[in-house]
Amino acid sequence: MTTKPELQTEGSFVAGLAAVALFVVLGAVFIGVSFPTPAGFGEGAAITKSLGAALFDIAPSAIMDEGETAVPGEGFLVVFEIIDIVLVAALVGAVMLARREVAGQSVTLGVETKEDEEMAVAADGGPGGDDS
Amino acid sequence: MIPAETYLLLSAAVFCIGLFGILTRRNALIFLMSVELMLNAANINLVAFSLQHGNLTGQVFSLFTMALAAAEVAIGIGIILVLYRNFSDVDVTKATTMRW
Amino acid sequence: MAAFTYAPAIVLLPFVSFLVALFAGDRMPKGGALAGIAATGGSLLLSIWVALTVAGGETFNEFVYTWTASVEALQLRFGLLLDPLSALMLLIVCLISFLVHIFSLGYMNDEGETGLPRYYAGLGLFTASMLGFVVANNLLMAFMFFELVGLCSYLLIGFWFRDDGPPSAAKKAFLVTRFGDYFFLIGVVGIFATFGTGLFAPITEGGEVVAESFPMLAEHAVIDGETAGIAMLETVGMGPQAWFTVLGLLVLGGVIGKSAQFPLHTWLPDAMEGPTPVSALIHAATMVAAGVYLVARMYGFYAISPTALAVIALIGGFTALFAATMGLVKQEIKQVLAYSTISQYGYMMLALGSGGYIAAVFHLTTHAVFKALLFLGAGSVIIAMHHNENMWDMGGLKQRMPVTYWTFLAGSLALAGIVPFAGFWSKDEVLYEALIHGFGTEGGLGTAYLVAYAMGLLAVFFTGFYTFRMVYLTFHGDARSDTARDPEPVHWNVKGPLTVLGILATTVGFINMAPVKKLTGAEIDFLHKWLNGPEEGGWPALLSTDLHHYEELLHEVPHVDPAYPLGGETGTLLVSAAVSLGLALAGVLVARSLYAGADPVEHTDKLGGLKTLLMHNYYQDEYQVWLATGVTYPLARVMNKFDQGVVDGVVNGVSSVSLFGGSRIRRIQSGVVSNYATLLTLGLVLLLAAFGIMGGWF
Repeated sequence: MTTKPELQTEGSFVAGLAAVALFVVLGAVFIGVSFPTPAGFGEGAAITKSLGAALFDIAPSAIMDEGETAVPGEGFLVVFEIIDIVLVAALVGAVMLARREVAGQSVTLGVETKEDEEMAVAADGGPGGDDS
Repeated sequence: MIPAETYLLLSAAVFCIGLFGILTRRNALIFLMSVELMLNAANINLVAFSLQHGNLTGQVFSLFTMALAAAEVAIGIGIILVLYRNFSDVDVTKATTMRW
Repeated sequence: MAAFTYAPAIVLLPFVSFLVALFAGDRMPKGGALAGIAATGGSLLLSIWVALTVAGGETFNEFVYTWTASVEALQLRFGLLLDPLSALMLLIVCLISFLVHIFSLGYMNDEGETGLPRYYAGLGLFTASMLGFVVANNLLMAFMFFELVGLCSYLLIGFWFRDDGPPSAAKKAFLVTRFGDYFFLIGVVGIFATFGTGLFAPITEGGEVVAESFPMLAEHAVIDGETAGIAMLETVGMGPQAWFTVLGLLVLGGVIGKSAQFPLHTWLPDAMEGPTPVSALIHAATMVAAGVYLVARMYGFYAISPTALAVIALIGGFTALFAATMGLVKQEIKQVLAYSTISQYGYMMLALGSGGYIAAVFHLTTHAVFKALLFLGAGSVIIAMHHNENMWDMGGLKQRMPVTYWTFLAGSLALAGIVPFAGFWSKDEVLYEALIHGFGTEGGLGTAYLVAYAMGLLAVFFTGFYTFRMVYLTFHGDARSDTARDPEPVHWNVKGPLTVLGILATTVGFINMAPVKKLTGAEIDFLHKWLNGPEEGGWPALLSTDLHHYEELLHEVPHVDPAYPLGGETGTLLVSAAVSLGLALAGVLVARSLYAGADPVEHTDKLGGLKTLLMHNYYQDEYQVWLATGVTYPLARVMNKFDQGVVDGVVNGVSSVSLFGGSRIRRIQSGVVSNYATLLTLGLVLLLAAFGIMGGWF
């Protein structure tokens, strides 16, 4: 009968007290603060429609219904582009990190070679870990 | 309208829950999930103040952080993979070679 | 005036010969001797030219080279002071050095010595340093050359360094003189700190004094009360005369060391380990004269301090007697001459201390001539005896070495002080000055002079005795060993300098026959006139280093005046001369009665325990060694322990704090990420709480 490796999931909860203390401090500050009335976006602000108009480069007034005002949303365009670039970079980086070198070739996920089992390269200590 | 203090309190709570997870959990993947929680707490804050000031800048910025969180998780998972290869365990308390 | 432009060459020519001998001596036929002879000959000619110019009334006192030009008070500049005293000394040094170089051809080259380039290089460097010292116009430059001269002495005494004796003797000479030079250095620093200048004589340009000299400043401070500019006096809390006495005594430390006076005389007999020409040049005529010359150079500074004068006179008188007694029992010819040198320099110090400036300079001149002559004569004997110095193995050399004998005899008669040889006139004048100033000065100073005079007078008897003991044992009687029966012949390069010096020893006394002048009124006291200068104006007004000025100072400040108690001036003179001549003749006759004859006996054994005391030099050497090992060494060990334990301990302690602290604090880096995060959070919480409380967020 095999026993699957058990992860010790019980952390040492003493460290968590620091997080609790932080919440206490933040809460104490936030309860005492008073903000002015939120400005909001006004009645009938059609945020989503404005964003769509900006994306498709059409005048917002062309797609507004009765009683809906446009909201300036050109800032979102920059965000979309940058998100695009960052996510591509992250994807490539993740794939590169996950590669393994086997006899000079790079091995990506999904390709299994018989050296996989021996290739538990450990920087310090072998399989089973070496606790210091 | 819900006053901004409520949102601040909510965001503080979510942040501290995420922090709790970082401080106490030993699995590296749970660690990453806690980091995500903290990032999203910041997002709540940003959107709350977008409503407070009545302009879209806050929401734009929260899109930024969301994208960055995603990118960071991608890289993080890659690092955990290499960590597992080196220490054959995803327990963060076992990977302690960079010490005195 | 052109002579003064070329005057620096007097110092530089021997220096060049030093370099030539050092670097090219191997390739030269006589190992660098010819370069040395040419250089010293050139310096001699230039010195004669300078002396003739000075005789015409011109003097020179200017800076020629600046070494460091940073802060005004700390400037080191080389300058030349060419007045009658320095011109005279230049002549002496150049002449003796030239003759010694020629003699060395016979002593070193002909004897087949090795390492000659080193020898001639040492001689050249020594001559250059001594000449530099003589012409120095400020105290710092003088000190620098003083030390250089000591270095050359060390190098030359230890010439035969592969034997045991010479390196040890060289070290002893250097250390003993260095001990004295330590006080000299403190004195130099003190003088600079007090006066801001180390010039011996003021520098004038076009009638205006641009740089004042420290003897003049001291004189103004003591006589005229102008102590306003001297801040040092408030710092030390002494009156001007007391502080200047302290400075003078400090400088005297160096003088006592260099001129081998008691108690720093122990190095000179050991220095005889060096080659005889070196002994003749350095330890008879020039280097040991440096101390006496320095006092004469700074005489305006010493003349205002009666305590310093008394100390000089007493040390001089005592040393004269002390060394003469030790010379009585020595068996090696050079040792007798070494103690004789110490004794005669005692006479010069006696003269300087008791206000006989002319007498001191006169004796310096005559002594340089006849002592160099005696040493070179001893060198000739040593060559003949195949380097056996023991007088008891000699004898009967008179017939076999006539030139050496007659010149040595002339030198011995001069040393003993027999009329009309040079030593009579100078030594007699020394004692006369001590006597009349002893009677004429009041209080303790006069008594001190008389005590010193008595010691000097007694030493005359011993001088005559040991000198002629030496002569009789070496040259008269029958030969007592085979080497003496068949001595090695010496050549012209040995006999030539001996002849020159022999003639000089006979005649140089005539430059200042003061007694004859006083009796007959003939103006033949040339040295007196030379050092006195014109009565009005001329160089004495510019430099104030003339005899007339010194006599005035001596009269005004320590009240050193002459008195003639024994029948007026003439009477006192005749009595003093008769007494000293009588004692000298008595000494000679006693020596003759004991040691003349075919087969002299070692009479000194009859002295018994006294002989042991004298042979051991009154145990002064043992005493000095004990001072070093018994006193200085334990003190040094304690200091070392303090330095290593306390000072080093503190430094190590500070570093160990850092090490220990670091080794503990680094354990925070446990490597567990959660710990780091915990610490971060705690820090953040504390920071927020602090800002919140201070900023009133709550």
